[in-house]
Amino acid sequence: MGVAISWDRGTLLIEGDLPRELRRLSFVKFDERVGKFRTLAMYYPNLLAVARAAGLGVEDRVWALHCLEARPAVEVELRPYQRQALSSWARTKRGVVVMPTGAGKTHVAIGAISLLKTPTLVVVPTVELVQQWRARLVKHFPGRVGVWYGEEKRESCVTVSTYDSAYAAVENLGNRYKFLIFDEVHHLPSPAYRQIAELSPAPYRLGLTATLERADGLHVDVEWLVGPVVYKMTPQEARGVWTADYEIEVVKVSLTEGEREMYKKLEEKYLSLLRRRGLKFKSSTDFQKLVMMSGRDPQAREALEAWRGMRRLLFETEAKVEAVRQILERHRESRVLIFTEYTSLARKVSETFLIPLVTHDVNPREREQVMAMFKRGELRALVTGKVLDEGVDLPDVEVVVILGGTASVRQFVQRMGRALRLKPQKAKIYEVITAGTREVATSKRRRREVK
Amino acid sequence: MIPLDFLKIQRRGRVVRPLYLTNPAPAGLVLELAKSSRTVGEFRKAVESAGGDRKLLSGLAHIVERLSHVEEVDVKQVARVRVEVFKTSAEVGLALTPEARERIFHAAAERLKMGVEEVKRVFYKAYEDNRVIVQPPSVTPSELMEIYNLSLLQALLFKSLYVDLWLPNVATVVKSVVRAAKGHRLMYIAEERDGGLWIHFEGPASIFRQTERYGVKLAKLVPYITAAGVWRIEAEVKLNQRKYRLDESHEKAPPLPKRTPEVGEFDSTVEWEFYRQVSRVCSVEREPEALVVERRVYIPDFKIGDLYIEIVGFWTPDYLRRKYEKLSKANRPLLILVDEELAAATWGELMPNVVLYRGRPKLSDVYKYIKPHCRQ
Repeated sequence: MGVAISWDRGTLLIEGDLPRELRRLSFVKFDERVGKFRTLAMYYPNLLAVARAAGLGVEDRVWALHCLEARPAVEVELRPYQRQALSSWARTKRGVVVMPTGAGKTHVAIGAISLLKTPTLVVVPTVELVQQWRARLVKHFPGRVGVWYGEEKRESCVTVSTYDSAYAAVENLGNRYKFLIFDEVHHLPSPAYRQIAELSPAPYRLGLTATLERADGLHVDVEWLVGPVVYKMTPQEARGVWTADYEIEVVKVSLTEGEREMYKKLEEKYLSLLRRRGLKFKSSTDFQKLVMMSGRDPQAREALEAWRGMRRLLFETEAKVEAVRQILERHRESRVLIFTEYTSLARKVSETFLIPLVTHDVNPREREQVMAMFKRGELRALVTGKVLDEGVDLPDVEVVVILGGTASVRQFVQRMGRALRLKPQKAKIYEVITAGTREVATSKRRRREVK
Repeated sequence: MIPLDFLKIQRRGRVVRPLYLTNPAPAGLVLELAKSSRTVGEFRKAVESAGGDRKLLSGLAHIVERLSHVEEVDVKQVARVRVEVFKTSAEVGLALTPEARERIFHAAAERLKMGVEEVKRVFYKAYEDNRVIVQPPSVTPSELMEIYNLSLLQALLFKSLYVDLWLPNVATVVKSVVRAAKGHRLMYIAEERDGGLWIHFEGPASIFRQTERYGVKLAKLVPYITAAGVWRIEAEVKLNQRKYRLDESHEKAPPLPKRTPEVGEFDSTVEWEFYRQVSRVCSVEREPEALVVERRVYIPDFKIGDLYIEIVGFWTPDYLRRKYEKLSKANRPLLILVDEELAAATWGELMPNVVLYRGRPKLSDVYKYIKPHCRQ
């Protein structure tokens, strides 16, 4: 007696005489459309375990692996704590490693691939990170590293993809990789991205992040999608030992007179509309309500427009461009990374000082060249929107300038992290905010856990 | 298709409909703005400051941009020029004053062996909005309105959990929809009902949970469906965590573009050749109506009288057996033509009404089978 399991677009079909043990599994369903039993691909290991326990023969037709073996040409060298993280993950080969930016999560991942020697799909948030992972992986798996994202789709034994592309392609690629690595794994539990984990049969899974927590509480789902936290290191533990020490300076600028007037007008409009709807300004759930209401309620829509206008003014004021000039003058010898909230300000900074721009509206070819040159030290400064928030490794950045952002602690930690790779001197973080506006409170909120 | 951000809907209880545009004036306005704008950026600004319904205008503008012929840019050259400017800038300590900025452009121009003005011009071409609109779309406001309305229906289906579709049983129509669905790797179940075909579309994982995963693919079926002229779409759509019913039909919806999917085309030259030969002696029906066999849609290649004919190119015994079993359940007389060279099995495994041919099927191979059904 036995069953055959095969792959079908993110699910598994189970054929043969299914014994009761399999039929009554909560995750197995009879699919009348094809007259066979079906399950989500992620239950592959569970299915095998149950079948084995029931003494059932299994014909496994799930895999169309991209290669037989992913053996490293060059072994990775691990620091003691990285080795510890790897060995605690290796016990179950499923789980999450939490480590601050700069502590070398990629090394742990390369160590894990070298250990399993199996075809691997690495999922990362941005195209910049795809390039960075590729460059790292190539050193250890020369000729066997592929990428899969918008501009470039070439699979190999170890393939790096973005969350977006992996979400779209998992039905086709899922059964080619037995090992899934999620970089910045806190992205995974979103309703769309989680399907990468659900529609893949990969039994081995590794998640990497500096901070697992999500505001929406969905991070608890990472445990069944990837595995439990198997290793955790806090920024406090890492500070000064493995990553650079830092100093934060808040620079306050003022709106120009015209901007100030405009801001006042918008603020009045916003607050009066809010009051009319019985909503409070400070409450974030009330803000959510406003967003929901704006679908039907033209006044709510107007209020939202006013709020966006206010934000835009704060983030884009001329005074911020001026502040950047002063910071650049002060740090003539340093390498500087500038973050903005809106692309338009990033563009203004780029055009004014002739600093390369890394945002979505710049061609990937140029972005790639610019990133490589920056890493080689041929460029002194970069300005970017949200593209470089996460993970991208910019080794010698000494100065980070934050020209606007959300109240998110995570975003702040990550942006700061760009300057925190281990180096002898202290890193300097500038936060440029607009005085006398609500940006002051936002800035306080995002820094609350950092000092 | 337009992004979800521009979707306009009306909700009544648990029923949702696209908020169609019924007045071509806004479409005309957006077309006018495209004609009077030099660059994509100017066009976008003009649309933004036109006031009125921003979602509507943005949706129309999105389509107009896509239909416009925009200046092509040599991406390589743009990147080369910009990288040179940035490198020069880094070498001299960045453009911290307007004078330094000019000097950098000059130095970069010299290195690139280009004029300063040319360098500046190319430098700004990196952004889409600085590109010139060479030719605005050549559609009328009413045509744009139709395209827009179709895009609204599609955008609404982005969030659909499944789509039920009714079509008249006309081979060309059904075939193009089913083919599109297969191309997008969707699953379907078909049923003959209400004087036509009901087809339920969803994805493999749909039996485990209601997922919007297949929404974008389902939306891509819409132009094939509406091209049928007579149609009905029922779907469940999830918006803001609530489920809504969508029930649209050619009667309820405004006129939509009739993009005709490839009609009457043959799958291969083999079929074309066969048709040419047989049609000389018999009246042959190309692409007859669809048969529903075990809830799958099956469209034989030809019909002569009441005999269905299917030409099979590449096949394996297993494939052929399954196909034959399926078709015998339809209880219709059927003749299958199989290429001998591609055949992977011996004679013994073939079914009774399978005819082998060499190279291409000839009239002489099949004449005795088709003769009883033949009508001149």
